[in-house]
Amino acid sequence: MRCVTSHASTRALTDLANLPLPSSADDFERRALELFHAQRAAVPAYAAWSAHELGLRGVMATEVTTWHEMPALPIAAFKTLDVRADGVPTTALWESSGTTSTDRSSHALGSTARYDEALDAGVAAALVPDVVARDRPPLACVQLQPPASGAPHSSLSHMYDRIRTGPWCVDAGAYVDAAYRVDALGAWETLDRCAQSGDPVLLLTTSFALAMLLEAAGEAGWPALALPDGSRVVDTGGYKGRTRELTRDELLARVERQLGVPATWCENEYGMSELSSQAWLGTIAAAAGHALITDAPGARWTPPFLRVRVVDPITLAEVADGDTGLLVFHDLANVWSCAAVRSEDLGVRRGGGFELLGRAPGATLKGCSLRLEDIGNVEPARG
Amino acid sequence: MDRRIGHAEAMTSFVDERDAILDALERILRTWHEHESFDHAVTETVSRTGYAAADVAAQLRHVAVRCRAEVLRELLVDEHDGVEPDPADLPSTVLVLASGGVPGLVIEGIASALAVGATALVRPSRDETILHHLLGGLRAWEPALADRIEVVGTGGVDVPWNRAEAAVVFGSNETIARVRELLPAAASRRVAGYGSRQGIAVLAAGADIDASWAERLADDVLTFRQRGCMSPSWIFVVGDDATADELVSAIGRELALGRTRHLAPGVEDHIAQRRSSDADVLGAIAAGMAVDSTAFHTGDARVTVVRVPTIDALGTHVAHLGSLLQTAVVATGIEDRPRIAEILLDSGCTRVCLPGDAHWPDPRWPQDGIGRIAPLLG
Repeated sequence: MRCVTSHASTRALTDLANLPLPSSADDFERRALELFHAQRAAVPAYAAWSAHELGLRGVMATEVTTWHEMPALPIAAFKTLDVRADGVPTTALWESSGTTSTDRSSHALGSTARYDEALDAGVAAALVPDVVARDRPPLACVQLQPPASGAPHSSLSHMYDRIRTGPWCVDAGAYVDAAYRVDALGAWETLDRCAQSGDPVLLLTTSFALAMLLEAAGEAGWPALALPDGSRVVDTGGYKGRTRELTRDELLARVERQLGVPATWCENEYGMSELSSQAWLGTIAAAAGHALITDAPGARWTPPFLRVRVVDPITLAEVADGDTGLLVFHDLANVWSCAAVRSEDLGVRRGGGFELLGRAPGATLKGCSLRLEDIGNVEPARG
Repeated sequence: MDRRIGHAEAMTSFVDERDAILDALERILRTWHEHESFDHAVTETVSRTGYAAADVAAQLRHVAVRCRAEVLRELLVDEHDGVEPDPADLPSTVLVLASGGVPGLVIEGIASALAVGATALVRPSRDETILHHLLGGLRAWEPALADRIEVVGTGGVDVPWNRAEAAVVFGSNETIARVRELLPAAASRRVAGYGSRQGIAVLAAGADIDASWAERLADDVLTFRQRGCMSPSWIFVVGDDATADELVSAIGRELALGRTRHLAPGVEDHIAQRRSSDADVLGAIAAGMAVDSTAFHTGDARVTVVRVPTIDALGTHVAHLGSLLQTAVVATGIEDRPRIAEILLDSGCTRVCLPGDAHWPDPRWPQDGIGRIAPLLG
């Protein structure tokens, strides 16, 4: 289906990208509608998909009046189609991990300004509210993720770099190289120095790298650290050890035992390269005395410009409170591609929010396919 | 003379030792189902894959049949022009790589390695659910056999590519190509690589000579949630509209009915249905066309139906799948089978079978037409 875009459409999108992100429910509704129409006009992939989905419902685009009704692009589209606004130069390109080009999704941004604005809002509220409120000085920030210079297409590297080098932190280094090898000794020595000097730490990491660091420390027999009060850990992703998957509770127990950081000061970031905003548990904020307000107990906190629906996989209708379904994001910071994205992650509806369960099961490969990542290894930690 | 006698003795010694190992493998596989670890293997597989327990157990019994000592010895000779190969020409180590998506597939790779008298260097894939249960008791049951199977490349250690003198790989074409790059040059020329494949089915008038053809074909599609390469993904329906409609209706009905037979209890397949539907539409958008083909989505399974006017036109349609062709399930009247089988084999299929047999190839079938042993001989 061919869709005609125009310079006017792209200009409308650019204008929206320059407005401040919404901060209230009314603002959200209004902006969501503006973005829906602008992206339909400027992003051919979204135009085609929304035409298909609205066609199935027998609804005209002009009859869409609320964000709940907006068609959401399946996340697989970022692998299959070029989801970007016509005529907008690409300033940043986020790519998800994947062994082959067909496994990897691409998300092109006309500017990282909106992404950074969304990130800052989330980090200020969820990770460092006490530093923002000047209750404590900037934190020593240790990063277990390649810096953006080594992983230019990783949205996570961009995110963590921005936090680590920003006004709320003192840069204490990144200890994963471009090949995703963990410098366990270097990281541990830095953390130990912070423990000795009494400088609270913000450890930014993937769950995988964190597990690798703790396993390396355990195998090497390095004494457990007692990081100072106010130290906090942020992880994201799955919890694989070298030989088996860890549960989150197991990982947090190791963090407390080996780093001296209790679970109450451990946060989990939930985001994806196809979006611009993140969702948070709210644990650090609560521990720091700046609790976040969520829609319901158990729900993740999202900034005011990110809303999440939980939908039935077959009907795509919203499920009842307490039921499980696929997560659909309406991220108004996702200006350059598509604000409404249907993920392959499962969650439980909690009021107007959600509790994350994890990736929906089921293989996407056919045949006796052995993927390279199935036989790949992570480099052993140095030291 | 002494040298010839020495060589003959060495040959005899090699053959005796190899046969003893193959006999041990046969013993263990034939009796494994009596052990608790067999049940554990099935349970773990069911838990992680959602496959039906009966399918997993049946597959493991079939692997035992395919790995019988007599079969492997026959293959070794048959695939070497009818004579025993000289041990000096055989690899002493064979790297075995296989997905866990088809239960027990890695055991077949190990069997090929043992058949050439080599030590199997096995790197289990992350989705492997069978092997560790088998190996757990192996040292106690068959220590000599245990000595010939070495698990490598785990615990953060790299795969020892340089130790491999040959390799058996069940994987994607990309994976096989990459493995060839990683192996030493001599070993890269001895790779039994079984790559990406798709199964097909051909329906024509007279299929109902077997009243249960549609149910059996549905079983072929749905076993292992269509993850095996032998599960038909395409159904070519030959005949006029009336014939085709009847055949398509029958298989559509059985696919819907058969879904739960091949799923573990409690497995949710709504997600898979949504994925399949999304993939169709996204693919159509990417190709710039409207979605316009008959397709069945049953749980995880997707089957595309292609109408073919006559048997003579079948080859042209099937040939579109090119090197992906492997197994073809044929549900037709008896009189059409020879002609259809000839067309399919000429088109590149390496195996033709009746409904219900897709996943149970004859042990002597030269896998993908490549051979189970021949590639390891160089």
